[in-house]
Amino acid sequence: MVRYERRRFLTTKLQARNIVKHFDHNGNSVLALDGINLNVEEGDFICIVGPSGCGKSTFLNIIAGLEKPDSGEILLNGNQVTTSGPDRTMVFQEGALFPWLKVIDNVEFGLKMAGIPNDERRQISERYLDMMQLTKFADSYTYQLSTGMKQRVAIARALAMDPEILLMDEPFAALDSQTRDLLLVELQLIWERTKKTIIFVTHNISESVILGNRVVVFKNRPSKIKKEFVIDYRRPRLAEDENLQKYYHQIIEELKSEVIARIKDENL
Amino acid sequence: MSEKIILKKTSHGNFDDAANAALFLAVFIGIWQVVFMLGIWPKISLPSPYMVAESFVKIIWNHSLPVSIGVTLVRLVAAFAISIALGTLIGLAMIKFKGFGKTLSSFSAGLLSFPSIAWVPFSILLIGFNDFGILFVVIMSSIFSIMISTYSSIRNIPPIYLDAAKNMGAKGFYLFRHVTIPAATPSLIIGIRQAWSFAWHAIIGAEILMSIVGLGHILSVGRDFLDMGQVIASMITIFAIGLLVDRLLLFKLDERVRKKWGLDHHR
Amino acid sequence: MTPKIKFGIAGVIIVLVVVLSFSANSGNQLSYNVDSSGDILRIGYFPNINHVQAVIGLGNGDFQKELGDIKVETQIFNAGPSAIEALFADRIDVTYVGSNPAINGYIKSDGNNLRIISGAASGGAVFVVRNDAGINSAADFTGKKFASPQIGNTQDVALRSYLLKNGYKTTENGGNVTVTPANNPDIVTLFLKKSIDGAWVPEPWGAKLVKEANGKILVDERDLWPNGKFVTSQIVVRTDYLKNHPDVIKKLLEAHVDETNWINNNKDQAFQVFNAQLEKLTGKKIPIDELQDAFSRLEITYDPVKESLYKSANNAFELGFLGDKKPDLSNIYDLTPLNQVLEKKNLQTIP
Repeated sequence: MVRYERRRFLTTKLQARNIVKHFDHNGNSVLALDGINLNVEEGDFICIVGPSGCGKSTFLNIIAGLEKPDSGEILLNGNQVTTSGPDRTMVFQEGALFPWLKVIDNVEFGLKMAGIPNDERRQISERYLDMMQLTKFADSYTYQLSTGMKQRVAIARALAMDPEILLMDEPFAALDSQTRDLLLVELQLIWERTKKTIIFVTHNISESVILGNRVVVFKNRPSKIKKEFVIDYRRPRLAEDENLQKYYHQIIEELKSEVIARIKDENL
Repeated sequence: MSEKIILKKTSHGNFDDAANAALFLAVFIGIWQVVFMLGIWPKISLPSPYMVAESFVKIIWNHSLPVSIGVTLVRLVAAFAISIALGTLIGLAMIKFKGFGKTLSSFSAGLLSFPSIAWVPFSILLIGFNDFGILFVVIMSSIFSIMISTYSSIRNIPPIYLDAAKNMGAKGFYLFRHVTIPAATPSLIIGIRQAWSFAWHAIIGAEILMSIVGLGHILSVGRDFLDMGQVIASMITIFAIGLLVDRLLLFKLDERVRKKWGLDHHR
Repeated sequence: MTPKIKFGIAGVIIVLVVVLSFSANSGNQLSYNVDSSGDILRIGYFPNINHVQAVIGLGNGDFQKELGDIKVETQIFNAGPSAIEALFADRIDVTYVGSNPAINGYIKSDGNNLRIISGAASGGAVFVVRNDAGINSAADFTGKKFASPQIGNTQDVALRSYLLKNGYKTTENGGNVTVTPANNPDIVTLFLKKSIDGAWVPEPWGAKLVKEANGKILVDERDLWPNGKFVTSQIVVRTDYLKNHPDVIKKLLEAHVDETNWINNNKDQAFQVFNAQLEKLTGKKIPIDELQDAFSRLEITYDPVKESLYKSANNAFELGFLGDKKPDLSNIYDLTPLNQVLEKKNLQTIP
């Protein structure tokens, strides 16, 4: 199946303007983010990659409102956002489901809190569970699920809130490669279906070229955005696809130079 | 399907456990009878199992045992409820006021191991030689456990639960009630079980030292009258009740939560 | 072993135990023998004024002198029941003790294991009430709260009998007078806190309550007994020791009688010596005026005042403290060694 990128109106969904962040390391203040500027268009699937410790997860937390930047703003649909909320839901790397709730209650958590009535809640959560092929497990407790299934629930939970933008922080890092490959395809299909704007942080380059229509490369700490790649390729993309190789190699080169630079730094 | 198999094993396992317990108790009583008959201790110091059974019948028949059990349990439940209520509040205060929390937490080794009996003289002077004095001793013996357990249970919640909840828009009291408390519950229950055993120790000790009626009192009276049969019968009752309450209430509660969380789930 | 077999074995063991309990003298032991050496005499006593002969005589070596080559070992107790326990468990051979623990011990051992061989003190118990409790006579007891040192002990029995005699019932029996057990120091606190209205206590607590806790003596227990005599403490020996070493016991009684006479002839000096020894034992002295007040109601004697023990036991039985059978105390006394000692000293014997 060959699909082509549909033309769409270019509306800016999210803007990160000059995000600066220090953090405390053994009493010293270390500059992590040195002015990150990023524009995210509606319907984008942006992957953020970078050497480890470069602050990409911190950046995502700032967008989510879970951390505050030292300076700079995040604008969602033109309005500044500072707190955390269901308009920017996050899928964490692992362990963020509530073990005291059943799967379906996990998915409904945010909906219940928002005061959505019972029937409507049920409808919404069942729809997303179905989308993630987890209908049979609605009444299970989380310990009964495999890691892959737990991440699916996390995605269902995040989507059920109908967020403006979906944030994903290395969500597949803890999965075995088979499960991951499956989820990579599923996620693309979900993206097509829901037309959500997604920001996806990963250290796995092949993931980034499979998923993203834009791949943003962070440099070493103190980070800035080093380079951005546009991946204009048909969907759904599969891991074995040879044509993705060229993107893969370009990005690897960018990262390599960062890693070498850091080794040089550390050896000085 | 696998659940059905597990259930079957459990009920068979129960029968097996009961048989083991029965055999253990029977052997224990048998050895006791032999030791008694050998005369290693005089009859007045170590009565025979039958003499203890006679004492049991006597104190049940004259109502002193059932009444005492009732009185002791009522005091205990009242004191324990106050302990939980106050202890939880102070524990929460420890979280809110970090300096306060850190200080009390650093005293915890001393507070938790403080012998309950040592509270009695203070209680007599401060509160009085009465039910409230007994409640005071029991509360002081169990409240620190609740306080410190509340404090550490909440502090040890993986922050990611709170992040995920906040991310979905939770804050303030809703966050506390629907995330903090359930997340802290398994650990809180452990604290409650510990506090219960402290409270149980404390009430018997306090009753032996200052009471007109109660399980501790029956034990103490038995001793005053050189009635070792009554002393041992009281001890058995105390042991049985402590065990029963823990098994029937707290253990079940603990089990339910652990099951839901899958804490004992091994693949 | 399958569970069924385990249950089976358990059942068999229990049946055996039950059978054994009913045969062989209904639960009696096959044997309980103590073989104690006559080279040692282990004596128990309390650090209080009812055992003044022991406090002085064992403290300053008088008793050891009298016993010569026989080594004297002492053990301190604070309550009668523990002294009797130790006696029966062969940790001591003879002890100074009050009447109720002795009675209980005698009954519990079916009359076999102990004998009372001498008196030590008579009198020395008072019913003290708070000055501001509004009690001027036995007519004012309704709704009041009283304490005694221990359920079923001598003072407790005296208090409850006194209440019954004056027509009052305790709260456990549907009446309106409360009797609560509290040990002696706590009774002082309860007086000061006004939590109780009165207490029946042994000396020196009577003197203490009067002097330090605003109390007044409502009843001097001596007034309730013929000749003002009633046994407060005595010497009790384990039967087998008496049987095996009567000579050692006689030596002890000689020392006891001599000490008794010395104390009665040298009261002031005796108080000082007693206080000094007490301080060695407990770290505290009794204020001298309280001591004198207490001793004014206490008689140091070797007369066991048998009749008062029998009466006290009867009272306890009437109150339900001694079980269902009327106690048979016919063999509780063995005054032969005491009388032999008294004869040798040309003193009057005890009938």
